[in-house]
Amino acid sequence: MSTVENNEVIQSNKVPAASRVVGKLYENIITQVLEDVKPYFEEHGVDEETLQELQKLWESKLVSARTVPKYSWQDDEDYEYEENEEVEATENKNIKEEDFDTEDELKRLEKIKKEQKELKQTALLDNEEVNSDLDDSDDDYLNTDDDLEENGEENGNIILCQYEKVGRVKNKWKWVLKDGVISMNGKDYCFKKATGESDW
Amino acid sequence: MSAIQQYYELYRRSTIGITLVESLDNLITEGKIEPQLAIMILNSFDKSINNNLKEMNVNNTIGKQTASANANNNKVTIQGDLHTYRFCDEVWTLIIKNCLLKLENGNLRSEEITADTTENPDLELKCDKLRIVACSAKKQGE
Repeated sequence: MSTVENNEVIQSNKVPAASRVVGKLYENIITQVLEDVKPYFEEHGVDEETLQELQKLWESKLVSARTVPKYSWQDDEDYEYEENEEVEATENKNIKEEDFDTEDELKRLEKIKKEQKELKQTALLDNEEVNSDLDDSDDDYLNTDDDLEENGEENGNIILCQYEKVGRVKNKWKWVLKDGVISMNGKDYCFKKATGESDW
Repeated sequence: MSAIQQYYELYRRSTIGITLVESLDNLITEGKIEPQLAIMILNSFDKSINNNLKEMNVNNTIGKQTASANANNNKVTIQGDLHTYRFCDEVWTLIIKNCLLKLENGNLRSEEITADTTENPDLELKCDKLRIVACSAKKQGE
């Protein structure tokens, strides 16, 4: 049931607040880390191109992880938002058809990105076809084993956080958590504060 | 390395952490960076994510105060059956079955100006199994 809710989120053009917040968080972290490590690159005699390559790798891996519907840097490309979705969906489809080796996937992604840029005009003309692809991929491909596999491999749903209090009365547990990152049903969220209650 | 303060490394297991580790792996494999540099970058990541999570909701000044301020001030509640608990080296690991997660105002869309729509503003997530890994909030930074 949750998968259905999830897909609704993906398909929606309006990104829900919870995803916006985590997207912003990730973007801040990327900017900050890349800024912070610049001097280290100099110290190690590594050129700035490599730093930019790191950024590209990191961002494209995040995009293909699809745990956040959309990042702001995706706007910075030549595409409008909707086209972007199409690109993403096409990428996704292509990947699903291939083996899921990360290195291959990455090379693929980069290749596809280039191709997409070149084929942009054609893609626009073939709008109908692209759209039907999009629908197909959302309905059929996303729900298949890949999502499950991913969850299985990475142990699926997880919250990484810090605890302020963990208490128990008999079999009733309560906890107060903070600064958390959530991965759930293939999507990421984050929180400042969380409370939990459960029976053991 | 150069930083004296220690930051938790647990967020390296998050999506943003995993993708960074993979990127660094690629660069090391291609011989473009040394592993030592990668370690420094990961340390910088630890610092950044810890601080950003801490300061996350300070920056909201846009829009209606009720709706969007709360969206960043997202309270999260977790419910479910506690299946396993473990406390080891100051780290709690909890496994919760039949879990319901509620993200307060998490469902608000960017184009909505007011909160009084029929749609439930809270984002509710369900899953069969959720793992929580939590480090002590007190240790760090003191």
